Amino acid sequence: MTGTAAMAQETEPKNGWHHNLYVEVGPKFTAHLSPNLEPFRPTGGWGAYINVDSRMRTWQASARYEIVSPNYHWAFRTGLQYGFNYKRIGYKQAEEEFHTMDYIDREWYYFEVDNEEQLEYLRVKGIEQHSHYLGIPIELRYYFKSNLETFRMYLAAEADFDFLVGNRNKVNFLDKDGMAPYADQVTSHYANPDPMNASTYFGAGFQVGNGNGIGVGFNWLIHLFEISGSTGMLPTKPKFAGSKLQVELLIPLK
Amino acid sequence: MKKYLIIAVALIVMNACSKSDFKETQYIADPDFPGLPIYSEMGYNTFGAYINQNVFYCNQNDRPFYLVADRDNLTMTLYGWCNNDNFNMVFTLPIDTTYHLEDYHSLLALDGKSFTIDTVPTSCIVKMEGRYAPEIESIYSGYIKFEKVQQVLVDKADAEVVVSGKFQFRAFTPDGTRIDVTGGRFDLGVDNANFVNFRR
Repeated sequence: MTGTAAMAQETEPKNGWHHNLYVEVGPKFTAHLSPNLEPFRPTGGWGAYINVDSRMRTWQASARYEIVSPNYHWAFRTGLQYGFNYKRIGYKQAEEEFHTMDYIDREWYYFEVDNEEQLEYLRVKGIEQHSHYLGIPIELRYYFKSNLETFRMYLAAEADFDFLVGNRNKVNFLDKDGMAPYADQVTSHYANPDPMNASTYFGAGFQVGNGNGIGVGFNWLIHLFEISGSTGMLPTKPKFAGSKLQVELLIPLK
Repeated sequence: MKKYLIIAVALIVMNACSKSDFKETQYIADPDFPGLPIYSEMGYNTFGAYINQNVFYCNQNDRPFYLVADRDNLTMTLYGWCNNDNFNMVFTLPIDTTYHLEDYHSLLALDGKSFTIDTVPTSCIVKMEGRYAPEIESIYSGYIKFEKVQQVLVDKADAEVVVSGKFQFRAFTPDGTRIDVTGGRFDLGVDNANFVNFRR
């Protein structure tokens, strides 16, 4: 008796543990701190503001094993998680600026690079950081009793331990070919991600099943606090840095 | 008069043809000196000073200054605003031939150089222009220092020379009124569009 199949049989005596396999995918929305804008020459004229956009996107996919208590309330879940983290500092899209009445007439910046003798700039459209993680999620769930056969809600607490397996820094120069060899002069102003990043989450979700055990679920987890590790050129806020939304496919094992 | 007319026309034409991307003024207010831009060495095309209790500052967005070299002098004119009216401050520096002023790159020789402001030809002479500008008869003390003059590279290519520095002086008008110019600073991006050499 497993998964959503168990939902239909909660009135039966429960004397065995349930084992499930999950495949989960979803985005993570992360609030980040302001990046280092010091090397950007102001673009604004009177007031000399620096109108630079920064954004972070994360996609995660994981396979998780779940063991559920016989009464189908408590569950422990763990597995293997892949995460792709994309960060960008650069030109703010023209349409966004139009709405904010914050118009800039060019799509690149003067980025000051280190030069002891002279004042030196490279014309940069954007700086990107692509980071790949393999991680171990550890999750505890509490499933609520449900009067519906194919529906179950739960609360979840999760800790993710993500290990950096690849990182690439990319600079989009205005002179793409000519300045490519000097990308390090730009990226050296920004930190690379730490080898390990650990965060905790708390949230809720629900599952719907077909009555035969297989089901799909959705959950929304809020970032509580960061245990350790920097995410690189756009450091995340240490607390309440966003949330992640995941779609899960439940496959009962036995 | 004809000479200055030629200079003005030449500079206007050259400025219109300039492809420099550093033409805009990047004005950042100095919290310690209300009304003045911060002292910077980045080519923000700003300048300012207190003239007694009034603020003299740059009021345009497009390089409000010119440098003109002739046989004996380098003249730096700051086109600004004071007392709600146009107000220019003109520094005439005694540049002898040892400076080899050929083009705007030659300004790099001024890096770190300081000039006494006085009324004698061997020092820097200051003139104020404008409807309400006072006439300077004598200078009690003062200086102009080019704190940093540096080449600017963009994408590894020459872009301009940044001339930045400070100035202050005390002057007197013919009727004995004292004029204290304090907190003076300038941060100017110079290229062929705003540098003319009549020495050649």
